[in-house]
Amino acid sequence: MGEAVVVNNLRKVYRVRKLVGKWPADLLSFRWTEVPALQQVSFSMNSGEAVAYVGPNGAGKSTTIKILAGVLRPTEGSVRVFGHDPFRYRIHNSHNIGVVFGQRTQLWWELPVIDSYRMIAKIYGVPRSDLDKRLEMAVDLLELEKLLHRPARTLSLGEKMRAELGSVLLHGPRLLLLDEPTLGVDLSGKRRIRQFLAHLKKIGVTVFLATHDLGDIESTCDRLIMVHQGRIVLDGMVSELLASFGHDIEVRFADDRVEGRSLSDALGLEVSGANGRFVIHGKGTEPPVSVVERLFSLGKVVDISVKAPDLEFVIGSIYDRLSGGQSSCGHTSG
Amino acid sequence: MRTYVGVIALSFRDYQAYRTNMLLRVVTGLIGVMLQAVVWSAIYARRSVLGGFTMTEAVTYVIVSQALMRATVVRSGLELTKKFRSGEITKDLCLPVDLQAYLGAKDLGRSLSASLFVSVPMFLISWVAFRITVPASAGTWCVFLLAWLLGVVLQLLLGFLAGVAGIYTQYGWGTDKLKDAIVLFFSGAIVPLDFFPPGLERLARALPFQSAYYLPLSIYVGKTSLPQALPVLGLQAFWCITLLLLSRVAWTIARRRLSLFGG
Amino acid sequence: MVGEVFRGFVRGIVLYAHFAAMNWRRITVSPVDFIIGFTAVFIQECLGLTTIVFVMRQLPSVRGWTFWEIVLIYGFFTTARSLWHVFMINGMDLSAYIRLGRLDRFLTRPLDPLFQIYADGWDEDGWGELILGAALLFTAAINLQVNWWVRAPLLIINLVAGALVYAAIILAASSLSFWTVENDALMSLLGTLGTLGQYPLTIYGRSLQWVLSTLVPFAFVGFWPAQAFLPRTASALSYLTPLVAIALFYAAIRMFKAGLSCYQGTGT
Ligand SMILES: Nc1ncnc2c1ncn2[C@@H]1O[C@H](COP(=O)(O)OP(=O)(O)OP(=O)(O)O)[C@@H](O)[C@H]1O
Ligand SMILES: [Mg+2]
Repeated sequence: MGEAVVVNNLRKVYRVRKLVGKWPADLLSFRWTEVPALQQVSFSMNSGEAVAYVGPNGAGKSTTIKILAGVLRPTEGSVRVFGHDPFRYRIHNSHNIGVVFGQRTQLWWELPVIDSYRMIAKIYGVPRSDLDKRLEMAVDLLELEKLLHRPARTLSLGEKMRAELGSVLLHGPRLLLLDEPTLGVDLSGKRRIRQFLAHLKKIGVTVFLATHDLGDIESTCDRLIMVHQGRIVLDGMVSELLASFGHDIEVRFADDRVEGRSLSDALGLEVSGANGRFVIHGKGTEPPVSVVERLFSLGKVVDISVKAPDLEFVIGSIYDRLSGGQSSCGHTSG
Repeated sequence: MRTYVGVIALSFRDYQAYRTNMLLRVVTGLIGVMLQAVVWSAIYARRSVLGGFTMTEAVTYVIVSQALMRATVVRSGLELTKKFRSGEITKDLCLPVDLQAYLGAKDLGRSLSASLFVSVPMFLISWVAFRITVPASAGTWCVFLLAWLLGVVLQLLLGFLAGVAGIYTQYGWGTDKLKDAIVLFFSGAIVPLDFFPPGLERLARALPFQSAYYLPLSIYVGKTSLPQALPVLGLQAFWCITLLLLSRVAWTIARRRLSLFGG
Repeated sequence: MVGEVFRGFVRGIVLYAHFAAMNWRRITVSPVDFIIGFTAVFIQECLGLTTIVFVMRQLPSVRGWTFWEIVLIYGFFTTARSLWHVFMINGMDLSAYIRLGRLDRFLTRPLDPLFQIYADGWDEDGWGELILGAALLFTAAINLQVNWWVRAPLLIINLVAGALVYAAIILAASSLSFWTVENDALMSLLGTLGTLGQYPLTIYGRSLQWVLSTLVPFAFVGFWPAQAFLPRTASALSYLTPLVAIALFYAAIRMFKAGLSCYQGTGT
């Protein structure tokens, strides 16, 4: 299994023209200000991996995708997609990749979707038999049969996105670069898109998915890379990330004089609440069962429930930490 | 009323937000002026009077016409069809304003801005560079400005009508462009109606479009004397009222159609 | 090597034909748009003619140019520009292609981005201009007794050259939007400046003649190439227009590529 993407010390700086002085002299006297979008970004992806790429607004997700697609030239560092520099060998690279820019479509506005598909296949030089096969797959997975003969302009947002997804796999890309493909799509649309991505993963397509929708990640991706202010701050398996956060245990003691402080000392864990009702914030290092057992030994328990951490919570608290704010639930300790 | 004055003031400022664009508009306008000046000087190179116009009169007519063309910015038709397409119109129809008056006020603001910062500089520079004449009496100035204002109102009404037509054809850009082309052709904006072949001239004089350029300009160059101007203003007012009624009817019908679509 | 270039060339033509077919389908989907747009542009073009037809028609000559000579130059310019209008007007909208992120999409495909911009859509409104221009050219030539049959190939070559010159000027100017993003006002300025090229160049002052022949060479869209059909005034420049066109268009492409190499996309 080869490496699909290798990024090494990638840096990208946007140069923005800034006018200085008074009009109209400012038209001629301007300065370039530099907006650093990516700094020292390194990661790699194996063929067949599905990686989620997350980060707050302005983190540099779209920039990374455009660089991998060969649209933008990196300022520094090296980028390889299936062994080639995507900017230098743009045309070669384009056969290997399928790109979705969220909320934009490459479909011909006034024409039936199927016409656009045929045209796109011609642009990529796809043989007839391959086209038929891939078309069938797209129609099946994305439930396109009702949409194929409608002009793209009559499709709703979610339908358009499904049709767009179908359009980027016609040339059989080995790597899918997706920039927020489920933005504005309703629940059932999202479900279809996720099924579709899962299937592509199964047949060996590498998926790189930039998104704000954590449901996308849970259903499709094994690995998660988080970027913040142009730097990679987290890179690991989704399951490990979740496990590292531990469970929350809600407990009610019969005796409402039990003190939070002594409970916390006894367990060695963070505890919030009072009057016999507490939430114990577990750590990823100890399985919840053993915490529960220890709780039972500390007093008579009337009610108990264990909550697994969800991705939204986990990512939310990492964002909080990154932006310097206190984590709302005290997970920061440890 | 206060609302509409506010709208006018807002779009007045909005239009001149990009000073570079304003400057380029003046330059573009001056290129047009120069073309007209050169062509008409060439036409008059060997003769002094043509079609009843002396060279100075003709050059003045076409140059001031160029300045006036830059002064009217009618976008309400395009805006109307765009609002219709995007569905924004249902929201606008709930506002406590009259949509036609609102869009008209926006255009009025733009046109005022364009008059002041594009047309006036164009006019002043042309005055120095091409020695066009200016009316000697204050009375002529007043009547000319009044006639011109009526011409602007007429163009606003036509713009709105084109917008309503755009709702029907579903192709706002095309109907607006078609309206522009017809107005410019029959209004004598490029060539005074006196030069038209007799048949076309009669047609142009029967249509409302001459209000936009030919009638004010003939007051400006003195082809219409002050006593003759009163019926001219009356004719302009007549067309304005007719088109206003027409646009109200068309708009009412279009709205009914809108509610049929469920907006 | 040669075989590869040839194959690439053939593939380009075939693809262009497919793009054209898509366009044709797009036009036929909404014939009302087509008719309105066509009529609008047609009337608008007639507008420019009013001065010539209503006024100059009454005169034996204007600055030494007879009526039909003026019509020939005007018609030639209009036809050449209409070819640009129909087939290459998209070059003018580069800033929109950038702003809407469509250039990003073009860059993810295995084709040259400039090719995709030009192939992206025809402006069918330009047909109105083309018909008017061709009619003017034709009647003028009949009245001037130009021998058509001998000169037909030259006519076509010169028309294409004129269109290329127009395309080159516009492309060079709109390539500026790689650096400035907004340049609609500049485009409308150039459009107006271009109309100066419709009339015989010698009616302008010396300096303006130079500007229109060198800096913004609209004179090579109509005036110079048209004179290949006016034996009275023809000069070497009339026959050199195709070379000028190729050189200018090549320069414009270089400028586009230079801009593309600093391409930064939009923030969305
Ligand atoms: N074309 C551009 N010119 C200048 N600055 C840009 C450009 N594109 C992006 N930026 C800046 O680069 C940084 C990274 O932007 P990018 O679009 O990659 O973020 P993102 O992670 O995709 O954010 P979002 O979640 O909002 O889509 C931002 O600060 C943005 O303002
Ligand atoms: Mg983004």
